[in-house]
Amino acid sequence: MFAQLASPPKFHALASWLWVWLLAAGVLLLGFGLYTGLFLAPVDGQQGEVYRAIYVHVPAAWMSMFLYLVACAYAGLNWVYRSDVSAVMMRALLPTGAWMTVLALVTGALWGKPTWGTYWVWDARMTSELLLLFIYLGLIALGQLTTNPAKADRVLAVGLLIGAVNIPLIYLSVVFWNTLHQGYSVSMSGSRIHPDIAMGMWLSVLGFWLICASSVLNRARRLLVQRRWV
Amino acid sequence: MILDAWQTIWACVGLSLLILVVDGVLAGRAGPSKTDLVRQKKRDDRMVGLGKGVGNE
Repeated sequence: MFAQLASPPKFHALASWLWVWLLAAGVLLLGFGLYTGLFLAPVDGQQGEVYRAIYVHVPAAWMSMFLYLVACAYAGLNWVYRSDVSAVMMRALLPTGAWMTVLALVTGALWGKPTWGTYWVWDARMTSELLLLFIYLGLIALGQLTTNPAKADRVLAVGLLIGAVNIPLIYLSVVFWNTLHQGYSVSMSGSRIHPDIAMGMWLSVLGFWLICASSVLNRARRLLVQRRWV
Repeated sequence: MILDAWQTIWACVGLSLLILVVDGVLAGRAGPSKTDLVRQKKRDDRMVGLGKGVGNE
C-alpha cells in the first residue's frame, strides 16, 4: 500500500480526487467548530468573550508545527529513498506551513492586545514561532536556489532536518522560560479546558487539518506534473 | 485603534478564512498552467518527430 503511494502516477491519481473530499470535509468540520465555539460555548470566567480567538489561533499554531514535522518526515524519506513523491510532498508542505505560522502570529497578536495589553513581546514562545516563519521562508527560497531539482531536494531535506530543532523549542518554551504566553492547556496527560469549550476547538483543529491536507495534496499533484513525473 | 472582544474575534476568524482560501487558491495555481502543458506537449511531440526524444531540445 505505502510502496504503491511512492509511485508518482498512483499518488497523482489518489491526490487528484482525495484533495476535493478533504476540502469538503474540512470546510464542514471547521464550520461546525466555529459555530460551536463562537455561539454555543460558554463565556470564559477570566477573559470574557475574547478567549474565543482560540478557535482559530490554536489550530493555526498546531498546524504550523505539525506541518513542519510532516515535512521533516518526508525529508527523511527523501534522504533515504530519494523518492519523487517525498520530494514534492516536502516542497508542497512548506507554503501551507508558512501561512499557518503567519496566522498563528497575527491572531496571537490580535488576542494579545485585549488580554496582555500589547500586540507583541519578545517572549520565548512568540519569538520561537517567529523564528519558525523565517525558517519556512528560508526553506522555500532554498528549494528554488538551483535549477537541478534532485540537488535542490537534497539541500532542502538537510535544511528541513536542521530547522527541526526549533519545533521542540517552541513546544517547550513555556516550560523552559517564564513567558507571558500561557502554559499548556492540552498535553499528553489530558486537557485542562472545559469540555464545552474544548468541543469546538477540536472540531476546528480537525477542520484546519483537513483543509491544510487538501491544499498540500493539491499543490503536490501539480508539482508532480511540473516535474513531468506523471 | 483598539478592537473590542467581538471585533478581535471576527478579525481573527476573517483573517483565518482569508488565509485558508488564499493558500488553497495558490496551491491550485502551483506548477504549470494548462496552456504550458499543451505547449510542452507540442514541443515534446516535435522533438520526438525529429528523433531527439522528449525534453531534449
